[in-house]
Amino acid sequence: MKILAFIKQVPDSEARVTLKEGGKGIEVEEKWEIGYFDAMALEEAVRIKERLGQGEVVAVSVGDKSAIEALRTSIAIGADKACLIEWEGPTFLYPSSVSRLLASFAQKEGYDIILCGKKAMDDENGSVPCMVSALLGLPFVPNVSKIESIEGNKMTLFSEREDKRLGLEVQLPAVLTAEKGLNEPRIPSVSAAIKALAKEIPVLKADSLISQEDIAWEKGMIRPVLFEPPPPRPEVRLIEGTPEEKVEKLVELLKMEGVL
Amino acid sequence: MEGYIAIFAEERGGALRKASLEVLSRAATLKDLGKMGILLLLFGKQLDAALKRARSYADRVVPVTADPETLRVDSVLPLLQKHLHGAPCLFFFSSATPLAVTLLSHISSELSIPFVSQAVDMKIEDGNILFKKPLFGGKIFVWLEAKTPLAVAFRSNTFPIREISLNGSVVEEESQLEEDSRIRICSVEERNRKAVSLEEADFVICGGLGLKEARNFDLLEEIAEKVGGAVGASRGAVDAGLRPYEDQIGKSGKTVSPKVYIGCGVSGAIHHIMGVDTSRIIVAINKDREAPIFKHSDYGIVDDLFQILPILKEALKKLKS
Repeated sequence: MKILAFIKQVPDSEARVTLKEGGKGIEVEEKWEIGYFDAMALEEAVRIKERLGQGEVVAVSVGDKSAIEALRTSIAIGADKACLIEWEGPTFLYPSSVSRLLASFAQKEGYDIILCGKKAMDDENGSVPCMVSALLGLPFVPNVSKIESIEGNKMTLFSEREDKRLGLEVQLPAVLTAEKGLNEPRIPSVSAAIKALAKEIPVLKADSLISQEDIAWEKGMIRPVLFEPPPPRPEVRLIEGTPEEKVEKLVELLKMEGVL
Repeated sequence: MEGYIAIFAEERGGALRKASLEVLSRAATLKDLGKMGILLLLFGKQLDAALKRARSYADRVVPVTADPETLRVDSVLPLLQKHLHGAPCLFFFSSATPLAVTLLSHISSELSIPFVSQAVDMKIEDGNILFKKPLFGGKIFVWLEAKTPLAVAFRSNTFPIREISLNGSVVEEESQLEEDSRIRICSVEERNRKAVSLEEADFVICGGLGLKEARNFDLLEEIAEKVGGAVGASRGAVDAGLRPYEDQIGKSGKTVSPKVYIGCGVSGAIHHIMGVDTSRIIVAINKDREAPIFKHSDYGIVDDLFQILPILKEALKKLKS
């Protein structure tokens, strides 16, 4: 059983993002973490291997060399192998390119299960996992909240949709995305983290996986022209008075604002 | 005709979905540009009323009787291509619902076209089309210049719904989608279908840990009901088991952009604010003056929510009667 976990290193909530060159570029503070949903995907990959008592978990990420940190953490969490696909991206602007790289990697490595977070926390596109399933011709199951069983090439699981929860039987290989509730990612032990330091993490160049043409096409179709800050909000106006007066004033203000 | 704008829309509760109506209103603005036809694929189970409305927004409407939540994604493109009759399709638009994002991701890979997801704005400048989307939880926004053909999924509450009168035709034949033999549905557990989704609601009232018990959310439900709004919950409230995950607002939950958001007993940590800060008006009700939410609000009431909310409920009841 070969399980691939696609993970992405993203800035954490506290990381500051500032504009450069009058909006032509941005600078992101280097406070990294494995994306919230990716961590669940990786954790589930490791748990599947533990439950089955066999298998190999491979963690892979597309990014620059700083992402090796996240891959090392993946080893500490329980991945058997980790690999970086080095590509300057930026990955948060080019999901098709990222998915082509990941799909090519998956084809070379082989897989029974591909697990990823339902969306990345930097771009929130939520498109790469399905794009990869389309490129590989695999069934795609989003928002997996629980994996019940794996028998041969059949997996039963729960998949959350907007208004319902579906119990599904899925034929492997398949691409699954992790939804909140799937698991609580473990915190690797100190000894596991130390052992992970010694592990070799190969770095593959993007053009070793796909052609130069394939690497360049999305950048030829989409171009960032301007970065903007969010519109500012004025300082809060506190409403005073008795509780009744406060509510009355609030309703009046909301009516005046045209939102009620 | 230069080409088509293909739009994927959804029926919800027997009507054309608000999120879809926004995209249809947007697409109509593009039609003025060149000779573009609008081809609308409408997915749902009860299509009659939705079809009637849909006709105003498209040149041709293809009804597809299928549950948007379970349909086979890779059977949609062949269906669309059949109805294009060989004409080029320049844009593939939808709202950023989970179904539509999956659909457009698939089509993007199948056709090798780019896909801009979570767009909040669109503009034409010097003959180029640009789309704006948030990054890093909304800390920054980027304008992307894009070449056609391309796919775009738009967030809800980012465009006013306009009345258009295209008077399109509805394709007669029944469109069936193939079942995916690799995925078998063993069980379906319906959730309490909300009248309006959090992402589409104009009014969102959100409860935090300050609500203390699950049953106290009933008060928020009653308030929301008065104004046709939706009830959300902070991560703290969800993790404490007060509300289910689908109600969670924030970085790891849903992003809402209503006309008014009211946070009750919500501290306002940055991961929550990320899911809320594109709301037009933010109101905070919290007895702690130092709660971070006041730094991100337009209006604030420093008081006990259990005192304020019942009064608010009565005031809204009076307003709406």
